Formats: sequence, structure tokens, C-alpha cells
Amino acid sequence: MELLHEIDPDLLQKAADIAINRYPNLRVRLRRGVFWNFLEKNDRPLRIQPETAWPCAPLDSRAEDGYFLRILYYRCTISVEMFHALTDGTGAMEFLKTVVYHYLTLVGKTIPDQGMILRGDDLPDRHEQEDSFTRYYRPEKRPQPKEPKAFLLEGTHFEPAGCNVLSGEMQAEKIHAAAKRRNVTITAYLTAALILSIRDSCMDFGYLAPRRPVTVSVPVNLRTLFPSRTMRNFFAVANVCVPLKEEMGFEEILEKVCTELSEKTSRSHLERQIMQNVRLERNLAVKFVPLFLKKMILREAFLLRGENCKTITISNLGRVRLPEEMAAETACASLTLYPTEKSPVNCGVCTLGDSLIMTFNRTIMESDLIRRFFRFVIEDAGTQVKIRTNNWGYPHETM
Amino acid sequence: MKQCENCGVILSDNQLKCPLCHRGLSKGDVTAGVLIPNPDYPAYPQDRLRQTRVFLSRLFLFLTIAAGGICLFINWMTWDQLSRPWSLLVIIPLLYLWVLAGSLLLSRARGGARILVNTLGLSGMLFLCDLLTGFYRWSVNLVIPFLIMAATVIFTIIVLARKRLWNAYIGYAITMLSLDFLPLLLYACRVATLFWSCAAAGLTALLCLAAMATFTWRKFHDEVIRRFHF
Repeated sequence: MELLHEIDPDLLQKAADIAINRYPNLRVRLRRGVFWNFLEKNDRPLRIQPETAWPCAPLDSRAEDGYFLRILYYRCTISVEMFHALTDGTGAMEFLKTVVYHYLTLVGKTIPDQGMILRGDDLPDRHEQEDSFTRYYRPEKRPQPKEPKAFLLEGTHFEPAGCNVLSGEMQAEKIHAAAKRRNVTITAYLTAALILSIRDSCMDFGYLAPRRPVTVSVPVNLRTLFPSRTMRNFFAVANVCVPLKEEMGFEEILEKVCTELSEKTSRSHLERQIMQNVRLERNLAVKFVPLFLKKMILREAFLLRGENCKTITISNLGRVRLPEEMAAETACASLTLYPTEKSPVNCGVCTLGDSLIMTFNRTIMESDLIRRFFRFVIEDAGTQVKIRTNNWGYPHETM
Repeated sequence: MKQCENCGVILSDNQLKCPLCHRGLSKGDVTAGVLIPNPDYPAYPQDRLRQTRVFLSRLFLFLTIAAGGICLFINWMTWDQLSRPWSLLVIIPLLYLWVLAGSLLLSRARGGARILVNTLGLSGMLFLCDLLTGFYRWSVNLVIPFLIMAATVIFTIIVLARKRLWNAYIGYAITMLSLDFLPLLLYACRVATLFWSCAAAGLTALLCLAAMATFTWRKFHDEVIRRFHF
């Protein structure tokens, strides 16, 4: 989250000390058991740090006093990076909002929380710490359809290895208008634009469209369909799978994206995902498998059923709601996802006021699909795109 | 601000090239000669320490391969005179040196993991050396049981003395206590032949377990429950 003034590290440390009290699910260290890993309370203080590495750099909990999260600052920006086992995007954004809220109040601003901020000086609510997956679990057997193998993005990895973060700040109103013109959601519009860009970047130099379908993995916040106030993980994934042809236009791709999204974000489909997750955890055979075997099996399953079945991930955090006085002190907010070995480009979307920021994080040099994506939204939605990048891999391209 | 004419995107003044098409940009309204740092991300310092570590580990890897390869070659060439795989007596300690260097110098693992890895590595190396020199069973009868006993006592002392690190070490201590029964297992399988030393290792495990349970019963009980929860 970028503020209007340079960050004062001492005040940010005080704000972090207050904010972490509200989030017992984050104030933990990970311990290894024989059958499962488990989390236990971490009594050490959470130290804020200046940002020195690229966003989503490997997180070594030993260097972070056992924490699986870090609070970073650079000039006017406060960032929170965390391990996905602790919470999802919604939980992380709530935590960041709490930190920024307390920082601004310590700076001397008077900000009424207006029920939009979980204040660190209030006691944590037990509903914020519940496992909502268990709450909505029904012991029924519903088979999950098998996902097809997806087209995988390939490219030349950066040397030295690292992540190139490139974000485009767009005018939220114009993107919203372009989506509304077609009667679709912003997520559907951006997903279709991304698929079109992937297809076109593959068809450069006369190549054919990808033989395998392009599958965009869209995380879904379950709190909207299954009422919950939990700050722990509570999300599912909708894999939007679109088989492509050379002659397909944007409208046709968008239609397929909408059909897939409405099917895979339906209550019954998401319930099936909840059931599958909880059933696996409660399975007696799984319970008694030693941890090291579980890790080996899960790693393979992740590659086969997770990583091989998606081309790219697009996570839309939606509009960040802030009290008016706090929004006036905030320039923009963005979300950066970590790329993986098989999914070397991922993107996060976040909207604050009229600023919609789409952040691409990649481990490969090729930027053609990103260039095509922004070119498309400029032409189709008529928005301006303001680029920010950490220039990883291209240090000579900046002063 | 600058604009890339090819991509149509707006860029900050510090960009010399468009990060999307990598074409050069005009100077815009930047004052010539004034360096503007990236307003959004810090400059990333080069990790020279890491680079040196990578170079040194590659150098030592090459030296290990060279030493092992030369010994194997000489062993093969002089097989008619000695008829023994003596080169393995060089290669195995060299491999253990890697375990030692990895666990003590390069790894940032806890002390518990280091003691455990070195106990296992040293035991394995001595067993193989014993096997290659006629298998007089000095490793399985004496050295390994006493090595495991010493490691168990060290763990118990750490667990009892350093109360703040109690739960960090207890997992390793439980693993070590289980390892104490390995000599008895070797005796049962007739690999080891000296009963008293193997039994002493088992007795050490039981005594250390009793010490932990007596002095820190509550913590010990809770930790075992947590570690073995399913």
C-alpha cells in the first residue's frame, strides 16, 4: 500500500506491534510433528524491515524470528509478505489495513475506523480465528471432475534468478465501463484479455494457437458465498479452461470465460471443493502417513493436479474498502503473487479508488504477453496504463 | 512522465527503455545528468557473499570428485598388487566431510539438527570403514553405541538446561532416544556381538527419558502429544 508521505520506520514498528495482537493466526511459528506440521504461538516481536530484495523473495522463518510473514517498507510504500498457509489474500489485506491504520493514527491523523478496520487494540474475535472449511463441510461424496493438462508458459529464466515485478496502473472506472458494456465482471474481462494475450503471443511468427487449453486459475473468496469472518484461509480455486483456435476473437473467448466462471464459482461447485479438502484432511489413512511421506506425495500431486493443470493465475482482490480519511492518505494498493516453476508468470489485481493495479510477477525474461495485454486494454477500454517495475533482469534499463 | 510510442504505456522518468518492448525512450522532462532513483522499488545489492559461497562449494566439489577419481583410478591400476577397494576409505571420509561442512558451516539449521545429522553421518562412515577393513565389528560393538549415547546425553542436557529452547530441541531428542535402540536392533540381527554396550545405549535412552519426564513432565507430555497428533 503506497501512502502519500515517506514512511517513518519507528512509527511503523509501533503500528506493527499493535496490529499483530489482533491476528493470533499470524503470530505463530511452524513446528514439525510426526504426522502433521503444526502452528504454535510466537512470543518474539515482529520486526519491520526495509525492503531490500525483490517482492515475494524466499521467506526463511529462521531469519524472521520464526515468523512466516514480514512487514517491509520502502519510501512511501508499506508491504506485507506472507506464507499462504497462514491466511489468504483477504486476510493479508485486512492485516495490512490494520498496520496502515495504526501507522497513520500514530503519525497524528484522526481516522474513525467506520467498521472497515480490524483494530489491533481490540480483542480478537473467536469467529476471526475459526476454520470455516470445517464449518461448511458436509460429509457427502461428490466426485470432482478431473482437470485436463493445460498449456504451460515457457521462457528463459533470469540469471541471476529473481522476480521481475511489473505493474500497470489503470483507470478503474474505464475498465469497469468496458466490462459493463459487455455485461461481465471485471475479473471475467481481465481473464479473457489475458487469455487472448497468451494466444496471440504464442501465434507470433506464424505459429499456431496452443494445442492444449489455456487454463487460468482464479482464486475465489469463499466468504462471499459462505458467510464467514475468518482471517484464516478460506478460498477455493476456479480453473477457467479455454481451448483456443487461431480464429477466435475476444468476444468468443470472453463468452467461454463467463460460462466457465459462472459454473466454477457456483455454490455447488465450491461446496464440492470444500468437501474434497476437508475429506482429505480427515481421511484416516492420510492421518497416519508420516509427514515426510505426506510431503513427497503432496509435492507430486501439486505438480500433477495443480501445476500441470494451469497456465497462469490471476487473483483479483477486488476493491479495497478504506475509511474516507484513510483513503485520502493512500495513493494506491497492489497485490503481487509469487510465480512457480511451472507457472512462471502470475498476476494480482487490486483496486483502490480509481486506481486498478494489475501486477505481473515473472521469473522469465519474455514479456510479450504482458505487452499484448496492456496494449489490448489501452485500445479496448481506452484507459491509461502507468507502468512501475523493479527492472529485475534489466538493471541497465533504469537510471 | 514518459510514454512508450510502441506500447502506449506511461513510464516513470527514471526508465531509459520501455520494460515491455525494450525500445529506447526519449529523455522526457528529465533534467540531464540528474539521477533519479526508482520511486517504487529499491536498488537490489549484489549478494557477493552468496556468490563467493557458491564458487567455493563448486571448487570443493570439483576437488572431491578429482581426489575420489584419482584414488579410484590408482586403486584400479594397482588391483593386482593389493586386491582391496582401499580407495573407498578415502572417498567415504570425503563424503562425510561434505556432511560435516554442510551441517556445521553452510547450514543455518538448529544445533539439534546438526548433532543428529553428524551422529548419523559419522556412524555410517565408521560402519562402512569397518566393513571395508575386514569387519571386526568395532564400529557396531563399541563406537556407534557410545556415539549415540553421547549425543543422547548432550540432547538431554540441552533440553533440561536451556528452557527457552525446550520445544525446539525436544523433537530431535525424541528422535535420538529412538535411535538409542538401534544398537540393540543390530545385536538382535546379529550384526553387533557385544551385548553390554548395545544394552547400555538402550538404558541411556530410558534414563534420559526418565530425566526429561521427571524434571519437565508437563512440557514433555504436551510436546509429545503435539508432535504425534494426527
